[in-house]
Amino acid sequence: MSRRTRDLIAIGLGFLSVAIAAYLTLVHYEEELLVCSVVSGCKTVQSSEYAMVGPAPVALLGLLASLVMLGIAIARPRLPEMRFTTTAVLAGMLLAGLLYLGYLTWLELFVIEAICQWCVAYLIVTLLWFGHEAYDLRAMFVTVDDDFDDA
Amino acid sequence: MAKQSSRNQPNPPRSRKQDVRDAKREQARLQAEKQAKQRKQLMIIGGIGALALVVVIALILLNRDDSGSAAPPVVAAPAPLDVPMQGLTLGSPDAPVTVVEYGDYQCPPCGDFARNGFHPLIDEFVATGQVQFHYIPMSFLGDESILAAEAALCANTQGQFWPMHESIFSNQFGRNQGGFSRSRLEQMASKLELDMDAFRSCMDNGDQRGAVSNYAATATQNGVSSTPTFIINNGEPEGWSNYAALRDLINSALGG
Repeated sequence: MSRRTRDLIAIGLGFLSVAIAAYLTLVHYEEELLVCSVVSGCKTVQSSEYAMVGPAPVALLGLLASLVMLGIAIARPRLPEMRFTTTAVLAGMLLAGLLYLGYLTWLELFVIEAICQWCVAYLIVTLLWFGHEAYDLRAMFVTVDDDFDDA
Repeated sequence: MAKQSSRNQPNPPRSRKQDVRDAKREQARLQAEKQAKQRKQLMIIGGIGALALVVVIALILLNRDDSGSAAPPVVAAPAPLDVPMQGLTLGSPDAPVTVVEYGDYQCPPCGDFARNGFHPLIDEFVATGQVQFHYIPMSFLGDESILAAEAALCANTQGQFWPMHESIFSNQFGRNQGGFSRSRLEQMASKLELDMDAFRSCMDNGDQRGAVSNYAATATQNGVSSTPTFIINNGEPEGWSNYAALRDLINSALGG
């Protein structure tokens, strides 16, 4: 797979990630949200006491992180000399996201006892994107003399 | 000049040993260079990985709510309501509007209504005879929701449903984390000066367990799928956002 294709896949996953996080942020801010629901997992999860990190909704933090990662993914092809670092930063952010989403999913399953399908979708996109970046990073690491320009 | 002359002189023949030594040296240099690059790569990856871990731990600590910590001491119930009370109903039976709330004692938005909407509603509409208010416990958020509802209904057998109801909402603490443990519910009952022997017996015997199940079943049969849900004059189910929105709905029902 060419580098250009890999970059396009990353950008595509970035847009998907931003779209889901934006939807979850909108759902959080909906006035009607103040409910504990039997059927709609997302509303229950989003109105739970775990939906906030300090004063900020988790969904908003997810949206900001997704926007930053999308920005890096878009800028990366223009910075070939920094490819290893930008890829490592992306992989690191995605790893942090994955770990945190893992914690949130544990909360959903065992504490809140409700599953938000869009949070699961966000987790899947993050997992795919992380796999993509980790593969890219590993490829660069193996062929260090050919591709590694900024280290 | 010296350089020039040395350039013009033919290179002395290199021995095979020298060639091998130079090749080895070059190989070692390349190897060292590669290792340095790899070390730098590893440092970048390790540094970013460590930073990612720190960020995740910080986020989890900020998000932890009160998990793992003990429930705070039980607080006293708010001041008693100065309106007619009959079981799970408040206000005059002649009121032109009825408002039914379906709630779960562990549901945070129900607690939000209890703290920020209930008293204004009582003062503005129930105390003035315009609204009769009913509460139906719809306990679906776990064991402590059921236990809290049982406690409220046990208090009801002593004519103290509403003080216990308010006390429970005043002492909300997480979900199934001990906020409505048996001992905390007993402390609430004790603060309200209920007959504790009767209260304990009611709880021990599960006298109200069937009623709690029936209320939950009724709510489901009536199509209620979330809490708090308000039914105003048998109309469409309404959610809770803030008191102003609820007041508008009640005023509409009153024809205002």
